Amino acid sequence: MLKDITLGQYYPVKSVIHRIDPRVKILLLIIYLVTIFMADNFISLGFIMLTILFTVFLSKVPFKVILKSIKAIIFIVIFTSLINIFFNSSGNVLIEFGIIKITDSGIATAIFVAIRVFMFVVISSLLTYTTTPTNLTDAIEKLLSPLKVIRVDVHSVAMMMTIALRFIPTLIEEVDKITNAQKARGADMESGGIGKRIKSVIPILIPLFISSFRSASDLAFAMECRCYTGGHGRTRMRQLRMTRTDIYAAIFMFVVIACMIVLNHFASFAKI
Amino acid sequence: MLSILRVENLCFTYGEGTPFAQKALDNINFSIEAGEMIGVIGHTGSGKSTLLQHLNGLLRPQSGKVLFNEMDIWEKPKEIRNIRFKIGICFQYPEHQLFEDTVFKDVAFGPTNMGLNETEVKKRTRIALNSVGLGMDFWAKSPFDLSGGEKRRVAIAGVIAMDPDILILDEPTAGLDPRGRDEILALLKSYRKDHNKTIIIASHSMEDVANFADRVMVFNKSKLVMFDSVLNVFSKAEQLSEIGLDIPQVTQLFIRLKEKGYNISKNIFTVEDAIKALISLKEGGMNDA
Ligand SMILES: Nc1ncnc2c1ncn2[C@@H]1O[C@H](COP(=O)(O)OP(=O)(O)O)[C@@H](O)[C@H]1O
Ligand SMILES: [Mg+2]
Repeated sequence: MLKDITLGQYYPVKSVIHRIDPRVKILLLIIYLVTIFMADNFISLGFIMLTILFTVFLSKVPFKVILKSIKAIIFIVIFTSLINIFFNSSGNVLIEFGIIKITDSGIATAIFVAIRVFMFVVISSLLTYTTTPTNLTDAIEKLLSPLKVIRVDVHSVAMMMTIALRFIPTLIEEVDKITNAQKARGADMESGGIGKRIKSVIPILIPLFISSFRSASDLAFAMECRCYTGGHGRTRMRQLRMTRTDIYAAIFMFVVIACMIVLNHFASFAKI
Repeated sequence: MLSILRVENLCFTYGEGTPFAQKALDNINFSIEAGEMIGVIGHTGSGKSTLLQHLNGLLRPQSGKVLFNEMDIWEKPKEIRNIRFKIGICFQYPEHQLFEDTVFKDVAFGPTNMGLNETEVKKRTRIALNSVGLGMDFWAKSPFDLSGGEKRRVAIAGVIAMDPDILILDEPTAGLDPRGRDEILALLKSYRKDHNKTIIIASHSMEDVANFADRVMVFNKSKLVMFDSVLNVFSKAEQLSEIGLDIPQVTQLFIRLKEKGYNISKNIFTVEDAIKALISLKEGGMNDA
């Protein structure tokens, strides 16, 4: 069912990771992603993987839930891995098959890249699992606020993101409902060739568009009724505040980076 | 008597195994006979819609069974589509599912999916549109240009056109004005009379179904708490009001009158029936004197 797409859904438990200030969390995520990129050998990569598992453990988000977000991208990963295996021709040839050469370094690169992408997804999805959409967009608004200097309407961008995020579950629900209604009229969405399948989406897409436009204009009307006129002069009910947890998180990140640099230096024998 | 639809130990929980888990059906058992008209009553969130979606295989039971003509509908999961043609369901706010550019085409969607030939599709579509009272001048219109009540009738015709053995409607009168509501109820009544089908209607309003249901199921907090004739259900007024359901005011009045010793029926659900009963009571009284 569509409900199973959990990517970007808040997982409501209490944990240290949930407590980190969303601004800090976003910055740390960016640093984390860079650190994952820095890893240039299997030992560093293994180390980073352990720290990520530790972070997931701290977040109290069940591993089953995290796995779902991995499932969503598994095909892309398999595809890129295959490309790596078939078209990387450096290293010792293991199997030769016409123009295709499978080499040991090709396989190693494929595995390396796959692990790296998985870690990217796990740590990024952890941000959305542990931060409510409202907090997330508040933080983005704050982090982007320097752009106001060059006349970017940061508030509107953040508001659009909030609304988009807010409507994802609504849209999913709507798709579920319409799909059920059309299935009840015998719509066949599971079989047939690609042409037939594309055609079978129309009975869902059209009602979905209509209802989206309806909710968009309802929402705009409701916002205007409550005197929304944009970001100017708006205050917040809940202020973001940094706490000691944020300092611990930053220290953790710093240690990870330090270990990373050391490992990269000493483990150059396992380089890809 | 042959039971056309039977439900055994049906349980269902949304989002099982997540922090969002929400129990929707708790060990439901009942059996419906062919030709019956069943009302499903319950507060919002009591599990009515969830039950109805199980009846034609849109949801698969987590435990328990749904039997159609004594056959488990999930016996051959690949053939669940055939079940959906025999047990037609029309959801709440069905007008949101319209998508074709003409009324006729939209109603023909169901029969076309059944793989019928064109003449048969057209025949069924015409019959369905006529039985919801939409004459030829509507057929070429865009469904999006119609009024709310008319759209709803197009959507109902879309299900009727498949000529199902059982017709299920989830809150068919929700969000309509009183006139639209009466029209929908009247057309369902006459559809039933003409075709002698089994009909199941869910509603959170007693008045909707009291008038013409043979039996009523009452749901409360995902449990089936009563399944009995309208009269027997209404006689438990106290229990009903505890779960937030009210019996029609005229019925309350007539039950009180009966208790006071007046010689009248408690079986009164509409104002018109009430007037008739009162007039005949008055005349009867005069005759006695
Ligand atoms: N798609 C869904 N996902 C999660 N919970 C749901 C979903 N649909 C209904 N529920 C929950 O299941 C319960 C029963 O709902 P429903 O069957 O729609 O009741 P009714 O039709 O009587 O209003 C409610 O508590 C509702 O919140
Ligand atoms: Mg409902």
